[in-house]
Amino acid sequence: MTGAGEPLLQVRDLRVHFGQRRSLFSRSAWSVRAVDGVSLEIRRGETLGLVGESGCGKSTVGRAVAHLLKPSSGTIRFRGEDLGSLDRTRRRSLRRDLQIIFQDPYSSLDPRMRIGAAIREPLTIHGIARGEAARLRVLELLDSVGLPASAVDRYPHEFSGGQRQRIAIARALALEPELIVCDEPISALDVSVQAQIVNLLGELQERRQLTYLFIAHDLAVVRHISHRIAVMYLGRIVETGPSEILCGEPLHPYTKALFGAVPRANPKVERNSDRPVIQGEIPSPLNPPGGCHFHTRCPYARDICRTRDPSLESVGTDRGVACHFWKEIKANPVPNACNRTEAAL
Amino acid sequence: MAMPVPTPSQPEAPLLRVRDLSVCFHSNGETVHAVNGVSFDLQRGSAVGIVGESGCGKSTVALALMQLLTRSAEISGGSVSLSGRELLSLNANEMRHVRGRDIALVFQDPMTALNPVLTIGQHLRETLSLHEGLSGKAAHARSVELLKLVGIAAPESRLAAYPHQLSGGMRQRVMIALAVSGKPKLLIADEPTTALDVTIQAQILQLLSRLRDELDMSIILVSHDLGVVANLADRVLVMYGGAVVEDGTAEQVLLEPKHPYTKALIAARPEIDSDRGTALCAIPGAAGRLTEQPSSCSFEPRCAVRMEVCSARLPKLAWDGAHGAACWHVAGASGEGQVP
Ligand SMILES: Nc1ncnc2c1ncn2[C@@H]1O[C@H](COP(=O)(O)OP(=O)(O)OP(=O)(O)O)[C@@H](O)[C@H]1O
Ligand SMILES: Nc1ncnc2c1ncn2[C@@H]1O[C@H](COP(=O)(O)OP(=O)(O)O)[C@@H](O)[C@H]1O
Ligand code: SF4
Ligand code: SF4
Ligand SMILES: [Mg+2]
Ligand SMILES: [Mg+2]
Repeated sequence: MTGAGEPLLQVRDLRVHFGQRRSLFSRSAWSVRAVDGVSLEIRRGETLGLVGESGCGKSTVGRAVAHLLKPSSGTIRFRGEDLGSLDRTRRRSLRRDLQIIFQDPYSSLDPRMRIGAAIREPLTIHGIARGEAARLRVLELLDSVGLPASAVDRYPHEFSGGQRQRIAIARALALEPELIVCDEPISALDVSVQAQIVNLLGELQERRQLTYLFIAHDLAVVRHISHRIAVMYLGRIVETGPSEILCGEPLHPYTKALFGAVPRANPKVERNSDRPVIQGEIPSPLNPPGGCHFHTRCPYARDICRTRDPSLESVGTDRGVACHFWKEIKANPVPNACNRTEAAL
Repeated sequence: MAMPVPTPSQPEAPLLRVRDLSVCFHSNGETVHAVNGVSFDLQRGSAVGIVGESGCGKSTVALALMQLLTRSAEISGGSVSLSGRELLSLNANEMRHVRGRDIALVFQDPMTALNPVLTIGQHLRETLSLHEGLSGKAAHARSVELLKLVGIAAPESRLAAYPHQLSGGMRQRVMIALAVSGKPKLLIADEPTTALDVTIQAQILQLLSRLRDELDMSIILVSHDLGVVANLADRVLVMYGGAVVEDGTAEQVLLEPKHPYTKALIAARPEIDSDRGTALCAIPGAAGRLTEQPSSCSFEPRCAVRMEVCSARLPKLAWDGAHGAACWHVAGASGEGQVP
């Protein structure tokens, strides 16, 4: 990890709104602020884990970064260049350096295309290699993800989920990207196979100086693989920091609740823990609560939380937290029962 | 087969006794031996967790207990007795009475189990009329009571909602309400939290644990996640390749595992409070397909400590008190097949 210098990726105040305006033909207007002012940075060679409950906007951030959708506002700088203001050829070459892999390698691989051809395709499209050079490059890529050369002539359905994810990784690596957005790359896999893919991503990062934006549900895996973590709630980042510190001593009440909910494979710990289970569910992003989005479930919420939206405040050099009362909560972590808002189930 | 000797603290006969249960599927001219000789006991009011990777036969066991397997499935042997009554010899009609009233099932994806065109209230009324003979005001009152029981706020107003109008967590609560409506003695929950966020998972586990106490139910919790099982289960069964490879108390299996597969599974899983940086202990390869009846240890191709005997003979569970493991490394191991 290179701490110094300019970040490889810099996202500023990103907003992505989905919706429909009232028009002549449709009377209903709706809008989801899927991403509502997200700022983050990833340094070269680093992994940033992005976590949060389903629907909080993780994939939307990932897709905006990978240029698969157009942000409503905000800037995304890659190697210092604003992706939104580049001309087509420049953007095309930048996009080569920025790949994405998804949860379900089934849907990202063409079932009728042999593995060799699938990995070769990006090489040909971008005019990187053809003929014998391309063939050798494909074999080298397969080898680097731990697949035998014989895979070249086989079809996706002949491979297990873990092997298909290896193929998807090989394909993403073909263009020698600098940044890979990994959107739930292991969620569909068995625990033992998850570990294989996590280790592979780790090895590749070291060997190729790769940078990852790693999105996943499994917080233990995210903690394991990430140098830094950003926690999202309803389209906003509520806390960021180095993963050890963030997991060990979370400052935001939501981070505490989220990491506290992860079950450990230890019955003694599980049964004796009297950690409170956070009640309620994530509110609808169509109609998010005002003020701090988390106030409907926060055991520390007070009146001001319902009206004023806390901004992401820097804590030390490498941490940020968006909570009006983080200092008080840190000093006295016992929630005041009188302040507890009724859980909206 | 040697089974654990009942300890003096559990003098009662178990609620559920499963012996040598085997299930195969016949499809495309091929036979899949999904479950091969599974045996276990479940005490009244206690919870057993069944863990293992996808395809190891967990759901097939769950469905076999309920006799809800598809037509292509065949229960090829074994016995399932509930409070001393053999279930496998019941006819379809008798079994219908057992389902819902004695044993109930909760699936991973409540959306597939709920009818999208019926409201939550209609689901509850239908089930209550079927199992409890309730209708009208009584059914309404009981519906509200059940939704309250599973922690749904403003239950009256939820009765009119359709499944798609509820969140995944709420749908799972409704499924649980339907399942416990007939006051079953045994609740089988197959991956009930797999599709949910961890915060909602924690709520559902808390709910199941509360219901177990309040309704004096036994629970079979099927999960691929050791953490989920550690949270709720008193005993844990680890399955691999259609067989139980380890069986013991949750403490024994998760803290002092004996079987190489259990050990590997625990080592492959990062813990939320473990250190970053070190590589995870991945298990090489992937579980094989179960197209043949095993005649040797199914884990052998992936096992780091395999020996010559492992590929020749099938190890049976060897018991040390109430803790069993099926591995040739475990003291007292015995099995079937030619000695190499
Ligand atoms: N194309 C779209 N049109 C309308 N709404 C969308 C679209 N894509 C996403 N959304 C909404 O934006 C919000 C964020 O979605 P997103 O997929 O980014 O969440 P996520 O954090 O990746 O969730 P998950 O953990 O379930 O993958 C959700 O409310 C979702 O319904
Ligand atoms: N309806 C079916 N037809 C054919 N094979 C099946 C069917 N259901 C399950 N199987 C096979 O039985 C084995 C066990 O499956 P299952 O019980 O669903 O595993 P688990 O729940 O542990 O993931 C697998 O090999 C699976 O492919
Ligand atoms: S700002 Fe208020 S509601 Fe939001 S997390 Fe902090 S204490 Fe809770
Ligand atoms: S029987 Fe042999 S192959 Fe099977 S788990 Fe034990 S040591 Fe490994
Ligand atoms: Mg997503
Ligand atoms: Mg299953």
